[in-house]
Amino acid sequence: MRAYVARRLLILPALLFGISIISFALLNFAPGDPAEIILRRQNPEEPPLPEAVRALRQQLGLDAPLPLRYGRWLFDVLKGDLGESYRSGTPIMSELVKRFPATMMLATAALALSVVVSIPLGIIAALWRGSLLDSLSRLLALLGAAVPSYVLALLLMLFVAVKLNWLPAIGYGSPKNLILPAIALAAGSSAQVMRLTRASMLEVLQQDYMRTARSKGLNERTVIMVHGLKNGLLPVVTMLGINLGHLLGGTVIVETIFGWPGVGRYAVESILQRDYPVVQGFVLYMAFIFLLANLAVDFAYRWLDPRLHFGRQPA
Amino acid sequence: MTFFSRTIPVFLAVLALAVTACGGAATAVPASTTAPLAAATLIPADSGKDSSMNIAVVFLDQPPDPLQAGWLALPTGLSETLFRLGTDFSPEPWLATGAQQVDEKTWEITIRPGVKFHNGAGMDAAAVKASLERAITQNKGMETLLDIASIEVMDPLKVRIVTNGASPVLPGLLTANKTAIVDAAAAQAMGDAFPIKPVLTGPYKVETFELDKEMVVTRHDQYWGSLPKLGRIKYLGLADANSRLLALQSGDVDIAVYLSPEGTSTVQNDPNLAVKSAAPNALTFMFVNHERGAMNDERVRQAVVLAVDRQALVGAITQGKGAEAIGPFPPGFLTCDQLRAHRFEPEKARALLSEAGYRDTDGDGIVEKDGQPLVLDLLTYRQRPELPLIAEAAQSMLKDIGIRAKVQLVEQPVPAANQGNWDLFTWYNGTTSTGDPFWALDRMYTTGGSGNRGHFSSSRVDDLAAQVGHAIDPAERERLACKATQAIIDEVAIVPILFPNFNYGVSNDVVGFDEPHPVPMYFIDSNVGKR
Repeated sequence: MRAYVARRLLILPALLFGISIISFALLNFAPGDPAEIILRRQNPEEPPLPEAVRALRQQLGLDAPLPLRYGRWLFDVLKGDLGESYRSGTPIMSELVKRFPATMMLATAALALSVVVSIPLGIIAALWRGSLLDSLSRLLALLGAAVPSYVLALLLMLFVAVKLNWLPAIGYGSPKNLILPAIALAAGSSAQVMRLTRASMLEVLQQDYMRTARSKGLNERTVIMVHGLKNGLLPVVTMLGINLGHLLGGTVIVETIFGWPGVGRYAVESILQRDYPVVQGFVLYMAFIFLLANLAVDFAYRWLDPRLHFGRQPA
Repeated sequence: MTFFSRTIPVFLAVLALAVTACGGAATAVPASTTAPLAAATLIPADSGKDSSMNIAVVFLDQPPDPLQAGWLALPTGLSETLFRLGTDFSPEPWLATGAQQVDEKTWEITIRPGVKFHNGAGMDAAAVKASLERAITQNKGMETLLDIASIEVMDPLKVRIVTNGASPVLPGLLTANKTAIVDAAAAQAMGDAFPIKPVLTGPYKVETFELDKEMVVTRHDQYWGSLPKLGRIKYLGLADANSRLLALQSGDVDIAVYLSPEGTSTVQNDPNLAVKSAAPNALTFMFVNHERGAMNDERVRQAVVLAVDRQALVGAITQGKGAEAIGPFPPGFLTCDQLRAHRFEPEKARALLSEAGYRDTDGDGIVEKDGQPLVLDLLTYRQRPELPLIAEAAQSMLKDIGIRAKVQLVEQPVPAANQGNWDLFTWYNGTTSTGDPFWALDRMYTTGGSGNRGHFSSSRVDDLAAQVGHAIDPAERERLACKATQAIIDEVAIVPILFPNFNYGVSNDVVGFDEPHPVPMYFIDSNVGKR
């Protein structure tokens, strides 16, 4: 296992390096001149003068050849410096670090909500297949998957915050502020997890080892929770890992609607304004998060299924 | 009934959002008021000591240093300029008390006594000189705009400004938000910390600024004007128009800027809220690409402008809260006698197309010339939510006269406009900056003007704009500007559409905000308070 972990950790920088080259090149070919966009943002009523655009391009180092710009950026990254935002002049690393707790809090709450609601519902739907509960869970899953998060977010704000006045519509800082964004965010992934849990459990319930467990005289609860659930959860864990990666990348729309100061909103504002250093730093951050999430999923597999050995397929 | 009347518009807005899959980001800056406090709503001067207010704005994406984000520092009551635009768009003294033109290149400006910066330092002529020099040395645009050769301190409250060329409208130029007076010595000393917490002169000073999240400002106790009514204001950056509306309805914020058309109706129907509408200031229009095929023909351009029912658009898009545009300048900006404008005349438009050689030979409803159908590329962007709606409406109106318009939504309008692969482009621009028509005429309508994105070129307009630039007598400037406006209308430099009002949603608890200023830069002043 140690060798496997060491190998995975060694591959990580190589993958990050490859991703950074691709993203740097792609960003360079994206339409829109950052210098012109920055100047236009500074004064929306006055179109920027060509000489001002040229001067700013020079000041930002945008007139240098692409490989040179990448080299400079990489050198700084190796020193732990992701550069400074074009639009605010603040260090990107400190902005990401400052915003990470907000995103982490929202992602954890949404994931926890998703697990607490969808896994039990998925199991119930599988155990009582075809029942009213199963139909109800299917309807919930359908709604959760079909209603876009921004529509759900606005509806929650309208009914829970405006009409019932139970919770604040926007803001950040108190547990009350967390509830609506977490629900809006959890709905979509809960629907997926619920259906996947149901399908996976249905498959497991028909396995021979389940029949064997029952024939040994184990009670139904032990059969389901120990033998069934542990095996049925394998694909669910994969999905939760991917979902966690997405959630930690920031949930742009929900963050924007609820005024939640997370990394996603920062990234999207930066993308729209061609704030290249921030976008580049964000891509690196996302790549790192996804690689770690995948690693965590692999470890969870090992716990759920001891037959799995790191680095090779189960027999 | 109340429940449904309040709920249904929002629900429809949500559904419309879902159907169009619009993100709804907007480029608007917060807007304005200078309204005096109404007698009926007067509150004791010290009652605002601990009162606070939350305001939802569209953007908080740049630190409020006037040189970086003058568009944020000015409307939030942090910064002030030497002159400001009045409700009639003419410059009036603000941090200055007066200005005298000595000769065509020289102005003497008297500085207001008793003004203190947020750090308690006094603002005198030397501080004004240092601030203006900081603006012109650090910002190329300001250097070009002001064209200053030298600034001399004459006495502690008077500066003499000499420009390189004739400068008949210098006070107007000194209304530009980037010329706001900063404590340049503090800027020098604070370095990178200054943009986040700039030292300015406005009624409020920055307490904290967090990019894209919030900005908290507190009362400037040594403010030179009337004592600010509020102790603290928290600005929340909510780019989504529906979020701003719902935050207002839930009571999380007291003012929401830049309401969408649907949001305006919702607020109007809410007994606890009110819509405050600022008179039209900026122009919504379509650029015409004068370098592209059919649009080169003035008859085709005239047909396009005659096909657009602007009155209908004012009703449908702004729900009556706006004004029809016949030329580049909003009502009240210029006093021109009898401007001849294009009206909605589809029959005449069809006749013009026919005269230009376009006829529907295959009966498909689209006119052709030399076998080629008349198809126009119509670009739009969604940062101004009304623009895509205008593009769709224009598409339908053009179809009525036999022109097929292909509407395309672009993410970044400026680069898309620069690429030139379009015939018409919906756009939104302020036209009243500096309070003088030359600013817009020179940039938007002269050959090679930096904002002339459709490459309009007319020797008549170039000549008239140059004459406006050189005229010193205000009446003569206005007469020439009117002639230039007529030429712009006649030659269809652009397709003017409308001047939309700027709508704010306001809680009934807010006082001192009865008549928002038409210039969106003067949003919060010391008079805005809370019951």
